[in-house]
Amino acid sequence: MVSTDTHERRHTRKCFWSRASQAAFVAFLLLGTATTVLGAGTVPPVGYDGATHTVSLSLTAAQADAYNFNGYAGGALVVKVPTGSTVQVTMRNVAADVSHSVLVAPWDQRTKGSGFTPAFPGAAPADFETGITSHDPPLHFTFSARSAGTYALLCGVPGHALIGMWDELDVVDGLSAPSATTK
Amino acid sequence: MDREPAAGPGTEWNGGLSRRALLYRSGTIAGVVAFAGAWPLVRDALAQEPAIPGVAAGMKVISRSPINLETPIPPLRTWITPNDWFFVRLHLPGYAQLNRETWQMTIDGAVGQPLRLAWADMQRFTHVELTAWVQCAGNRRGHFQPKAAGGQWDRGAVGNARWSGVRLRDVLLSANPTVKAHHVAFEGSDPNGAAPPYVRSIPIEKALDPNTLLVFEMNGQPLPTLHGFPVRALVPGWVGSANVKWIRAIHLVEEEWNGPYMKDLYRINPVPMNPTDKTFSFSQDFVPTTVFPVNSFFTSPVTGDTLPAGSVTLAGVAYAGETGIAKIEVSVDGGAWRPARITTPGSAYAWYQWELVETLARGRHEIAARATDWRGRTQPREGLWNPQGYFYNAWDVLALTAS
Repeated sequence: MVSTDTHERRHTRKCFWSRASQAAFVAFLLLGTATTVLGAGTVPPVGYDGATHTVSLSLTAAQADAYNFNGYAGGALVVKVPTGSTVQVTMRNVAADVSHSVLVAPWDQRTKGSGFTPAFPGAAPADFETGITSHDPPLHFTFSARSAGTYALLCGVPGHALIGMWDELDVVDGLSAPSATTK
Repeated sequence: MDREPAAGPGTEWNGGLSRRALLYRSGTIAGVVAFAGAWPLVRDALAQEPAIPGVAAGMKVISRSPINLETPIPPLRTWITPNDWFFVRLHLPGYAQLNRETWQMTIDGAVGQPLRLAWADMQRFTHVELTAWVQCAGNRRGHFQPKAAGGQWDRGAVGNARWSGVRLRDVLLSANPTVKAHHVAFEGSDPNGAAPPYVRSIPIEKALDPNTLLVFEMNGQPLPTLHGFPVRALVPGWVGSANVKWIRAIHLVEEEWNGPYMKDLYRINPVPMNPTDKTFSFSQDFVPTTVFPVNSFFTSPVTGDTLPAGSVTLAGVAYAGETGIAKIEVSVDGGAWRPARITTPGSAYAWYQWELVETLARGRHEIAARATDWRGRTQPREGLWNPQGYFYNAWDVLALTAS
């Protein structure tokens, strides 16, 4: 199978890092990272019905074909909800070829590759490991944020949270209204 | 002439911005803000022509960050897949930009002689060459029913290339491994930020196989950046994820590497399972994906094509992990399996090309292909479902219209 060549090899190396390529490459990276580095993501709308203490959170996965929610990854997006509120989460995915999902998991699960568990009953859609693509209808789930603390809003597709596809959900005592802000 | 990476010699691209790039950045902030408004148009333009050095425009963008690019079918019609058409699968956002002059690789763990090797040290080992296909474990995942988790690759996360480098065996033995060296873990220089580094291990037997290599060249050129410059592992016939790029360390260990790319990913159920079964422990009940099963697919025509009725030349590729292909058969519309002709023989590591001329009457047709390897294993009719959608190897089926 393997052929042996004991002659010393000399290589002509092409320099494909011409100035034009460098500029194009940096421009490409800037556009690709703009949504996380420069905060050009889109903060998701957070609705609140004070009468029923119901929060509605609408997320978009894979902005700019990257592993993020609304352009935010690695905890750059922080959603706060009042303790005891009912939280309705909707997520759509704009990527056609990579599936994504979202669930609310314990904070320490954000560095795992798989094996996620919802932090509250109902805080995950069915089949969060398979997820949806842009061809599928959005995911929905509803849970009661019964315990204060810091949790991860993370993608349940294997390998995604591991490389940063997670953001922060804080359940806060005495909060008058939910919010979504960026770090 | 030496390579001149954009961020300066020996610099690792960590997702942040080098000094030079900061100058570009300040000058283009206004431009980027304008782009944000025009994003949908820009995105469509980029999707047609990705401005990634060394990558052919026309590669299918599966994702931009991490970069995942799939080869369309036509470039897979040559026995050797050209470097700029070879699929790219990265796990982390960003990638390493290394320099031969400053590159180093350590070897530690269950060895009598820990080593730190530089580029010149690697050249002292016997140089070898191997033609082998490399495939993503998730190639053809998009064909699973029900859908399986992960990137929905079609058929193009595979390519066949001529690799040059040295035997991993020779390098490892120079470090005097001890009897406790049961697994060999490769650590890549993927910029990982706060995430765990990219590490995958293989058993010592595969590591010491004379066809397992540390390679420097791909089709006669230095490894392209996105394919692991300056040194990557070549673990022929095994999952692409074992072929670690930008190697910076090799750890010889007693047990399979305890990291997420071994425990939480790249594992498969050893027995068939029901997709609705959720009772398993992925890390404990499943086994690592290693050697690929037999696979084949059509390279011509492409599914969905309309062709003139009459004589049609069907062509494709076939390959199996660590073993050769015995036969490829084709069935038109559920009819008898007819043997295809092998036009370019492969090997236990290089893929085979095949052809069969069929006569198609007017109307719609379904044409299936299945390969059988030297060990007598044939592709199944249905994909063997597993939660992370690896190793899809069912018969490839073309839907064609003859008019």
